[in-house]
Amino acid sequence: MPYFYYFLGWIILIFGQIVIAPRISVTGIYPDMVLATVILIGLKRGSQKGLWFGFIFGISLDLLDPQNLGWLTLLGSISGMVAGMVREKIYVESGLYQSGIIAAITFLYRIAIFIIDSPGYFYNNFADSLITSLFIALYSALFAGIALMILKQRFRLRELL
Amino acid sequence: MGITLRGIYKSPHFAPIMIVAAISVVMIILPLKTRTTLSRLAAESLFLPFIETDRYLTKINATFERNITLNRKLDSLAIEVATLHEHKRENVRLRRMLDFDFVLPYSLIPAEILAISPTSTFKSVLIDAGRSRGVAKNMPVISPSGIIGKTIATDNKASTVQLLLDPSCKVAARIQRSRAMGIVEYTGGEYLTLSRVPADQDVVEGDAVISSGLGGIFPQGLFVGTVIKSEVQEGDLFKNIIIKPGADFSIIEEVFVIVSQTGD
Repeated sequence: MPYFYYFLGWIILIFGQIVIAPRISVTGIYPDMVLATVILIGLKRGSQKGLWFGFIFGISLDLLDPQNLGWLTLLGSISGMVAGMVREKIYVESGLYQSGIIAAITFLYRIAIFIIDSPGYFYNNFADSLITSLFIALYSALFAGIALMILKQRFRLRELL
Repeated sequence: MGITLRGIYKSPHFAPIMIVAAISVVMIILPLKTRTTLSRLAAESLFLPFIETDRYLTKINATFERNITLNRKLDSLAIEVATLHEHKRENVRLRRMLDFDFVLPYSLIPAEILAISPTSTFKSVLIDAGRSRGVAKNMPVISPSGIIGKTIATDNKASTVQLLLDPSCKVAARIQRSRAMGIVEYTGGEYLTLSRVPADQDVVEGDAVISSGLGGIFPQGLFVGTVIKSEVQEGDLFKNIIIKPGADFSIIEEVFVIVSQTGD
């Protein structure tokens, strides 16, 4: 049964990333919903789960991008694992803390993508690349924060009912 | 050192990260042609519902926006068409007098977008035209509103198109009005840059930028975009020219691959 929920989660997330995310873009930048979720899983379930979820979601996105095939898998897995390791070292049950970790890891992930994509471009547009990465990271963290709030609210409602 | 290494081997992360890294490295070192095939298979099966939904919503949105724009253009174009009609007749008559045959400058293959990278910084797309339809590497890809990019890998049924938004995709271009030459490239942001245009050249806002045909891939005369900013910093040898691309990369649906150029 858990596998059914995992599959359902995969469908929702991929749908969100392919269909929803581009439609809530601000100046062409949209949240990395998938990565935010992978980091969140790492933070909630530990490094092993983070690594494998990062792998599954990374490979899913990779398959749509022949030029970068493989990189998103590797970086997604590492992001999930690092999030899990952060949890194992210092964990605070706070939405703000989790959003902060999501923003930090997403920022580093985007920087890595920029460097892998085109080192020359990254070097020539260093400030722009940093700002874009930061914007994506903050947007992703904001998205994850809102999603967490909604989920928590729903959980409380259920308790009340 | 030995203890540290043993510690690493015994770490619960060691085996999984090695497996993940090995799979990733295998995918990274695959030839682009194989990666294109993999992407096509995924786009045609696993991701088809998502891509179709996205395409459908994009079409609705694009149709709505286009409808507004086209209605505005329609009135002014009606007058222009009447004038051009007259010019066409004159052109036909003059060509006949000079014994010139009419030929289409390019042979085009229509294609649809199969997949777009779902990350913010996309620079390539997968199209549903491949070798079986005559598409090969390094062929120009255009849309009715301008150059999109070029093919960089093909398999039988699909091709990977490197967009103009990829910093390594460059187009030799010229200003249509003044014939000033330069190179169109992506240097970040929403727009393209026309570089290497000497500071003394005549370039103003609103100028149309077309391909010059000198790069060897893009034939001459293809629309690239419109100049939205042209300035010279004091002491600079070249102008700083910003172009708004003719093609809207966020709503690409159908494209054409130029498979032969008979007009050059």
